[in-house]
Amino acid sequence: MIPILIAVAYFVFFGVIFGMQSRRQLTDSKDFFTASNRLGWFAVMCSFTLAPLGGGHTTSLIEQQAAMGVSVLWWGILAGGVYVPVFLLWFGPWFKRLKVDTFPQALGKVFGPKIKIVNTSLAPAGWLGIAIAEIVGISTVIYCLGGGKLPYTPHCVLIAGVLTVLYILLGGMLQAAYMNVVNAVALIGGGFLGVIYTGQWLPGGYADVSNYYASIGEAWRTNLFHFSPDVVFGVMIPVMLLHVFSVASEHAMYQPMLAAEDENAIRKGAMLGGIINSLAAFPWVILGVTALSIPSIAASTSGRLSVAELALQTMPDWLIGVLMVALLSALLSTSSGMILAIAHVVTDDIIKPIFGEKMSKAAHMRLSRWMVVIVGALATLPALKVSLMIALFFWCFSLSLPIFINYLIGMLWKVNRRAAWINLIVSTIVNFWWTFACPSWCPPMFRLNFYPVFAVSIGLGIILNLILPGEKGMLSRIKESETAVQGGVTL
Amino acid sequence: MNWVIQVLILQIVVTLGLELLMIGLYKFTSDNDT
Repeated sequence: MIPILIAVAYFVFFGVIFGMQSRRQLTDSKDFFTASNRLGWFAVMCSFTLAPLGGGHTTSLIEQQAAMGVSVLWWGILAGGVYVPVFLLWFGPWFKRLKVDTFPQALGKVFGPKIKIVNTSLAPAGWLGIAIAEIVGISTVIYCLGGGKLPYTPHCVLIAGVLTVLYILLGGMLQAAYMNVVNAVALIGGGFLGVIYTGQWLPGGYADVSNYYASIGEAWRTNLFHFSPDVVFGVMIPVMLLHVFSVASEHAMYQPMLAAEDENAIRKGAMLGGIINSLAAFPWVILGVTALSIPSIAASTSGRLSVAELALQTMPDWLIGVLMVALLSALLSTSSGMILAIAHVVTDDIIKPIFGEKMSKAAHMRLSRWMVVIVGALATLPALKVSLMIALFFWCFSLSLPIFINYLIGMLWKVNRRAAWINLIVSTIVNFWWTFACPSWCPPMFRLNFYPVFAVSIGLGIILNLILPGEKGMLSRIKESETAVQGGVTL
Repeated sequence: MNWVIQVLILQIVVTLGLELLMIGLYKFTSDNDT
């Protein structure tokens, strides 16, 4: 029970401290959801880096390393080395330039109100699926690293739900930003402490692990450059496509951008943020590969539970608590970010337009906090019943792919609403086709539904926009209007 | 040098290399972007 108590005390302590501190600075609901341009580059970097860094970088890599070895670290390398800089150098500042408050509003500004309504109605459902999956991951971590002493349902799931809501309830985005700065340190520090301890615990150090795998003819498990088809098509290509073209459409990624003082505060963190995002995956994969080299652990457990078993068999309670804090830092930042994003979009894009100016600032703020609690409950209750969410993950990501591809085309190249609608409808049909009746002629490596959805959406996006006329891309129009305003001032 | 240190160094070097590539690309295209 000691590790669970350490982890719960850590998150309750910082949740309350930072919650009270940020609560005093809030003036209205906009502050609650966006921290209204208050954050400098370091807080923006920590918040953004931890937003897409959840189960994908930790628990799912612990599971996947059992089949692919350390080469699963390409998930972290490509997310940190490509996605983080691409988002912080381009996507984030572009969004800031649109002067909107949510991603559906950005889509509406480019393609008109109908697409905004569709995105506002459907996207939060997809994000809720991701939040549910993260809460399942948090519950599993609490259960496993707690040595199974606390029942999984309802205790571990309810603790996961309460910690997620506590992460953002009092101070919203500002509280999350403060928490994320501390948790970035806890995530990297805790994970690496576990790696160092394990190296000391092994009689011959980590050489024992590589010698063992070499002796059974599986030296590839400790080789980062083991590019098997599984690694290329199951890790490297998915992490690039899903992050750059799908995760980038989640509003949770844009909330740190809204909180940034200016575009420089976004871009400045690209380098450090990428390294933190990449290295966050390292300890869990190393500990997983090490665990499966110990015959007693390999024989008694699966890849998914390998790190928990290694920790329980070899580490003192305080270190298991530190590892639990590190893992929960990754998972809670993502689940709470998703819940804050859903509450923001539902409050500002669905409920507030119904009441208009009749809603007072105080009422709007109360509604925002209640919405966080309601969405938190909506994510926690299904987690009591569900254990495997990978299929839902891919489904949610595949729904977002054509939305973001069309957004990119509209921002950079051309705005044609008809082309965008055709693209969205056809891509969604292909998504259904691959999910429920994947054709027999499809090669095994392309059976995951995001492959055909990506190909169709990119293909249609190029062909339709070449054929059909349209307005200039949004960024060109913004640049022209800024030039015109500057010209007017000069005159 | 054990394999853990090797993997750590390679991960940092490859990540930094990719980041520098992205930053270079950004510098190269930023005239059109801003």
